Amino acid sequence: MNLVFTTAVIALFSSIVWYVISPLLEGESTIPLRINHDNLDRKKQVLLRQIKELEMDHHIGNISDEDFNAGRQALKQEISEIIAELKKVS
Amino acid sequence: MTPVLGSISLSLGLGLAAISIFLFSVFLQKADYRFFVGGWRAAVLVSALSILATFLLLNELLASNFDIRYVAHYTSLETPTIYKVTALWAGQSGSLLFWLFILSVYTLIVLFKYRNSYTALMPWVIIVLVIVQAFFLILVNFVENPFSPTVADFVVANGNGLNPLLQNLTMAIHPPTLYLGYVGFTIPFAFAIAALITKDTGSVWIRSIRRWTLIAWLFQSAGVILGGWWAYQELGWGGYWAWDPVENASFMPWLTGTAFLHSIIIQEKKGMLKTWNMILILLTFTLCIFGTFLTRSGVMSSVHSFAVSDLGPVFLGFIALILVVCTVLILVRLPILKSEKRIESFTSRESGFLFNNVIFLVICFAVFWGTIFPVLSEAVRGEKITVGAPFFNQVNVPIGLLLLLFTGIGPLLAWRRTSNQAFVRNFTLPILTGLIVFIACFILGIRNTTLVSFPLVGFVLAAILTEFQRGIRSRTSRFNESIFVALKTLISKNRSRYGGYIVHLGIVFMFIGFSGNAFDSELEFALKKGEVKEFDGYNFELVSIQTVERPNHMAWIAALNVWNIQHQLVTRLFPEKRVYFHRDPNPDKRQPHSELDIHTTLNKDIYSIFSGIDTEQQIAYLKIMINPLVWWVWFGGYVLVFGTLISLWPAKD
Repeated sequence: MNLVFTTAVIALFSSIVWYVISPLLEGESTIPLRINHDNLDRKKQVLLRQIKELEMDHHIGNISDEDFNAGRQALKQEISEIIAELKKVS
Repeated sequence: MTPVLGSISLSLGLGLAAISIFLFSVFLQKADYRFFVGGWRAAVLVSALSILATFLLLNELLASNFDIRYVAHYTSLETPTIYKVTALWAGQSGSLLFWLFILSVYTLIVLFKYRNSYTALMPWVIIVLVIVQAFFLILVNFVENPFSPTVADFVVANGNGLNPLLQNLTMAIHPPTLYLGYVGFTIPFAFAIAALITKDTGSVWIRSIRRWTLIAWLFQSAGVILGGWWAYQELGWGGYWAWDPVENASFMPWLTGTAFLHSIIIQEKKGMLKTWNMILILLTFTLCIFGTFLTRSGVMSSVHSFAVSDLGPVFLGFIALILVVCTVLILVRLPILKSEKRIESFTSRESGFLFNNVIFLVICFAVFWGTIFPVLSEAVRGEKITVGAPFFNQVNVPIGLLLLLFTGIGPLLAWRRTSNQAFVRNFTLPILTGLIVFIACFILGIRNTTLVSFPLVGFVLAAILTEFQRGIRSRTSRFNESIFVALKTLISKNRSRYGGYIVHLGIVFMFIGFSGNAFDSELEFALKKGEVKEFDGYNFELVSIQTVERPNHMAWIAALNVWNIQHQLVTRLFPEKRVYFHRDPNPDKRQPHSELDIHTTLNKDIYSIFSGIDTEQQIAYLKIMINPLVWWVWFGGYVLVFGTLISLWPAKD
């Protein structure tokens, strides 16, 4: 029983070591482009949602016309930059 | 064999935490993605092994393996299965392992959720999470190992059993809920540290952690409310909040966490309060660790503290380390934490948020001061001076009412500045409502704090309804929707905002419940079978006293008929007097306990406690309390949870 247990523990330990070090031996050293794309896309969604919230605030009178226009312009600018980056990544 | 495997898992987990941190450090120096993947995998294993160790301990608790000291200490053969499970967090080492278990589950979610969304923040986020895991792994490996064997020169046939106060179903839910809150704040903390280190202090990290903060806050809120519910149901003093050190420990991070949830809106929308937000989240996490320290170290005597140990210095060392690192990081990054804009007007939503934040912090400081004062007084003067509930109530009730006022004012203010026209339009109805309630209370002869709290409740309720009405009107005019459709769409399309207003509604309901305290009444008396006692408009008749033996205790059950003055039966109450471990030959080990019974209605609770019995003469010693409006506290809690869930629910893209 002790032998079986010891063997199982050694097997577990070896699997753990292999699981951790295997990417160092065979993986890619640069960050995959797909990951950057997903990240930028998520940022774009958040900014689009912020524009919607801004419009809502403006319509119920919680924000002045001046602030609304400036805020929407800034968010649109940020989205344009992300779209440009997304094009580059794609 | 299983305990050995448990200990091995914890040791391997600690080793892998060190490897993970090392691999991420190499990645940050060399920018070689392979090291990121290696570090990520090691971090996954740290969590997996910690979770495995927790399940192994749970297995031993269920199997009643008294060879393990923890199992022998907190369970017995008579302990019901559900309480064998809850014994996992009943003691020192088990609860530390449970902390680690929850953090590991959270960490695994972070690791897999952000697996394909690498940002510069992620390596640092994972490093911070693994460091916190490593701290708890050090504790369970070297200070309080839950798998330590029982030290006895005889075969341990049965264990001590669980503290009777913990043998309550609320206790099966309350600690895990609170821990989910405490531990949950580690995620936003990790993102904040990562943002400071990478100098990415804009709104990216704020957006990343908003949902995480809400999740932690939801559990923290539910945990605090459940703690109050447990105290009300189990401790038998008729209240739900006693400003006990452990209660305060759970309340403090809730206060700073709530302040943080409000002020990140300002940063997201206006680019302001960046330093403030950093301080708030770092403070919240530190208070979570401090809360765990208070609960676990035994430094404070508390009705909620079930552990005494020498963990204090280790926890204090960790808290000091967090404070030093965070302070240095904030000081170094001060130039990039400057706000992009300034508050322009006193009557702006920004200043409303800021006032609300300041109030939260003032309450937090008052609670902190009152909580640590006994320890400080003992350290400085050698005499332990305890600060009781009167101090906390005297300080916090007026500030709490001010906070309630700002809960109403905030949403009515416009961003940047509120024009006179908008001010009149938004505030007229709430102020009128508050005034009407005030006059009504005055005419009814109310002269205590409720003369302030009820009008404020009216003001805030009207303010929230005004916000809904403005939103609905906006939709009906723009999209020609019916009122019902407009309300539904308004909430579903603006979940964060309107979920928040529903949370405010919950808080208002809770304040109605708190106000009821001013009208509490109680009476202690003895009754023989068949006798009747009149109190506060009710007649209490002792019908019988029944004796019942259950597996882990002996119970005497008093059957009480409660009649109103019109001689109508209101309810039947069955409070119990119990003696736990009644079969133990050592009388010192038998534990008396009163299991109360409560009749709840919307306007009052009839709270009965069976405090003692004369078995020879069949006399029951009873305590009856009439607690008005308590139901509203729990109802407010449900509404708060419901509102937070709406805020959390993901919006359609």
